[in-house]
Amino acid sequence: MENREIKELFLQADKQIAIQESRKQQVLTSMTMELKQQKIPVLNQREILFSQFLYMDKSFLILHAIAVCFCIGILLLLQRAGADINTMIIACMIGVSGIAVLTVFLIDKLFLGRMAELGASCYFSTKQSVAAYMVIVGSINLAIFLLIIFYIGSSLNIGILQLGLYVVTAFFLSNIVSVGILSTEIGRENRYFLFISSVFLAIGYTVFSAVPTVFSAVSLGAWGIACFILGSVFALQLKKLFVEMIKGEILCMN
Amino acid sequence: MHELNLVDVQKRYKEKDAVIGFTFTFTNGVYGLLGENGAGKTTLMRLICGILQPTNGSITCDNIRISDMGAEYRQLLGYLPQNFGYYGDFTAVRFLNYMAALKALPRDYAKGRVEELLELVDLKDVKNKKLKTYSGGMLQRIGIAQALLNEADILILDEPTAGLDPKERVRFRNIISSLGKKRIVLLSTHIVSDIEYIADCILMMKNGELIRQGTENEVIADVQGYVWKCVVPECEVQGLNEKYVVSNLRNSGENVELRIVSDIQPMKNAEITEATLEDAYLYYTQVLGGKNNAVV
Repeated sequence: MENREIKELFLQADKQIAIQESRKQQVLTSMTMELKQQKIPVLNQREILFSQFLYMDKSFLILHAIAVCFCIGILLLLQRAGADINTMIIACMIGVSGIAVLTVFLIDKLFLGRMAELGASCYFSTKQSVAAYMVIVGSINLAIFLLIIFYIGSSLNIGILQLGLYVVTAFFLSNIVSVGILSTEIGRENRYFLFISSVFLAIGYTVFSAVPTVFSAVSLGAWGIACFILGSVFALQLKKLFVEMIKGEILCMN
Repeated sequence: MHELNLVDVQKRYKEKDAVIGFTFTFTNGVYGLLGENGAGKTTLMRLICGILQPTNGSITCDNIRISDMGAEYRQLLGYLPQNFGYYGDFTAVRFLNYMAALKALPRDYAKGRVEELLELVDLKDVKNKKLKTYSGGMLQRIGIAQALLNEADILILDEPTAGLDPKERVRFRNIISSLGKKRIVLLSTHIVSDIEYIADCILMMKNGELIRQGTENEVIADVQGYVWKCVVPECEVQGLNEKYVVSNLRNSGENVELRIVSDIQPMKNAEITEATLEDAYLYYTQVLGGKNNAVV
């Protein structure tokens, strides 16, 4: 018997079964209801972030805001007090470094602490939370840095790009140091190392500023190279961090 | 119904293999994972949750690698880690709402579910208290509640009854048992009685390997004839303790009644007695592959 013949036999047999349209609809409705009940609707990423922000621990975000205001306040005070260009550049670098270290601390504390393992099993995983808040807080920081650069640069007649180069270099260096510290077991156990490192960085910048011509136009090339190298190292560090997060061991460290 | 398939799963840390060649298929039901501390239970659970990546082997859910499924797989998961982290300043309600946000649950749904679960874990009266004021047992109950938030199809519970008092243990055993009808529930413990009554299948791990699997009756059947009961003077206890695996010890006047798990008769007057899951566990973890004395 060929397939075609078997098919016809089945069609004929089907015709003999009376299907009640109302029963058919009833079954369909109950099946749809059952499926709806089984499947809980899922929020989109924007809604998840909003809900997460609504319930998350905001004390660190408040700390971040206070640090930013403090940094801007100090810069304004220095400007009012008539600080010279070098002092203003160093103050900008120290301020940006401090904010960068605090941002790393904030993201680590919020998402890579003891809740990291639990978060990794959720729909919106720890990796996604870290990435999302890096982008959000990073954007806020960028806006603040631009504000500082434009304001200080224009009021003291320093080239915007020149000041931007110093600030971004300091930003990369601080991030490299703080992410580096948190990548080690000792660093994770002693998070105050982060703040010690920012103090050392501040001292380092101050000492560094004593080098003649360090902020002059002749050394801009060297600053550009340093910025590029530090930026590349930071990018590699972030890539490594995310690879380790995917592997998972870093999430179970605490 | 989902099918979770582990094939030759291996996880190697720098110096040590935490899980070696683990092959097993999970379908709906309650699975009890038994093993000593360091046997690889937690690592296996982290692998199943997709938190850790296996060094070798594959973990698939309905024939798709869980690493490829990503969020779709995590949506099916409910996980209670052994030491789950929490923000101490959060209240129970806020913590559960935060977890619901991470699980992408709509706020209206989450609100109702949080209330339901707080009722289930008997924490409704203290729902607005900060978690840092909670006792160990209360925190464990909050941990269980968060694992149940999304009505997970795959529920992984790492030592869920640790820190619970006997009344709470019984209550959770019943909850877990009922949950296992519609989903995969894998719970690890080294407390045998936790899974004795509720696990449809018992998995025993030792040094990262799955050494025995089966129903309670199957596992116990293996050790029938290897469990002995004897009454000895107190002065002989020390010697027997060093030579055999003593699963129970009870003082009765000047003598001591011992329950010994051994494949040979430990002494002349020793009589074979009915084996329990605890005896089977001791047999597999202590007697086979070298004796380490264990008085339970």
